[in-house]
Amino acid sequence: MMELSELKHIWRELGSESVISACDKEEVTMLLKERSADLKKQILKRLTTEIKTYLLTGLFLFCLLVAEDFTARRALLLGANALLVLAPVLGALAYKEYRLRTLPMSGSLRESISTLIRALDSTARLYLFAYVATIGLSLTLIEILLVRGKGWTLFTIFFVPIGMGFILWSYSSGRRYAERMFRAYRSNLVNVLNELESV
Amino acid sequence: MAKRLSEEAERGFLEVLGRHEQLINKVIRIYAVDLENRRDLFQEIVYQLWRSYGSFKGDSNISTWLYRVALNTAITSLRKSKKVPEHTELDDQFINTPGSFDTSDRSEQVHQLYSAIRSLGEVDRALVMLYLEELSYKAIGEVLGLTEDNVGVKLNRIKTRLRVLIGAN
Repeated sequence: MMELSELKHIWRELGSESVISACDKEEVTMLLKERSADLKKQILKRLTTEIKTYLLTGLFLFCLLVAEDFTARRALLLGANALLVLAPVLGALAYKEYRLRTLPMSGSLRESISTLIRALDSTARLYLFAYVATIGLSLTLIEILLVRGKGWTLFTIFFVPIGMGFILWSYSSGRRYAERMFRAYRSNLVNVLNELESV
Repeated sequence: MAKRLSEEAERGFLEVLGRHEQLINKVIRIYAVDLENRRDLFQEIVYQLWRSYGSFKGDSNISTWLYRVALNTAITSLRKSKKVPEHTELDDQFINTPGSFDTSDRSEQVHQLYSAIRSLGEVDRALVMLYLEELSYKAIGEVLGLTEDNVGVKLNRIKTRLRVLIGAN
């Protein structure tokens, strides 16, 4: 049988066992470079997924325009709109993702987890905002183009509630998407917080 | 290095890393099982240490700061899915023989000690580690964000659990 004090003895002896070692400058430099590259890759991967979603939405809207008297000028306007909306949105998402992965870890465990949960929630909100705003702005632009081209017809009037319905749908689907994106990780963090709170 | 510090700070960081490498390795062993995950976690911890080293002002003990960063990183790592399952099952042989810790083979004892610790929850693992590292309750509380009383209560419960797990008196 072993006393707990003997565990301390064994634990101290573990000091001589090294699993991984990186003590010289070159090794550490390489390790940090690898980690930085990996970080960029992870963020890029996440953003690529987002861009695909926006492109698919854009394609759908583009098809609507093609069906409605498509012109090169409209295509240019749509492209410019997409760029204007997407560039800052993707920039903000990249920043949020970067921050999420590089939050300072030097506080207590409770502080670090609470900060991380707040950062996750704020990132999820930004994803939702970006998604809904992109769809909302695109639909508004289409409506403007339609009204300018055709005036107020039954179709252009009917397009308003359809567009609003679509925006509402994008809000609920975007919310599900943003929740799903971080759900497992967030719930893991909440569990750790609960474990900290429990006696 | 990836984010520039002064030459002196760089030297200081490498020295700290060298001096406390075993501490990082212990954290890795209680939170990651296979070599790939251990490498990932080691990389992540060193990266986080490097990032916060510049802002370390010496208002706490360097080892307390290291424990904080290493444990926080291990517990909150975004690569969690690739890490150890939350509650690692103990080896069957270990569970079935309560006195199995009483073995002459030291490496087996070490393996079983880690196995017992890994069967605890994530916070409890950190608590046990800090207890075995002989940190005061106050210091443990500072690392985890708990009161001294809370640390004491939790540790008593965990020690009882560990006794059962390793068949100790």
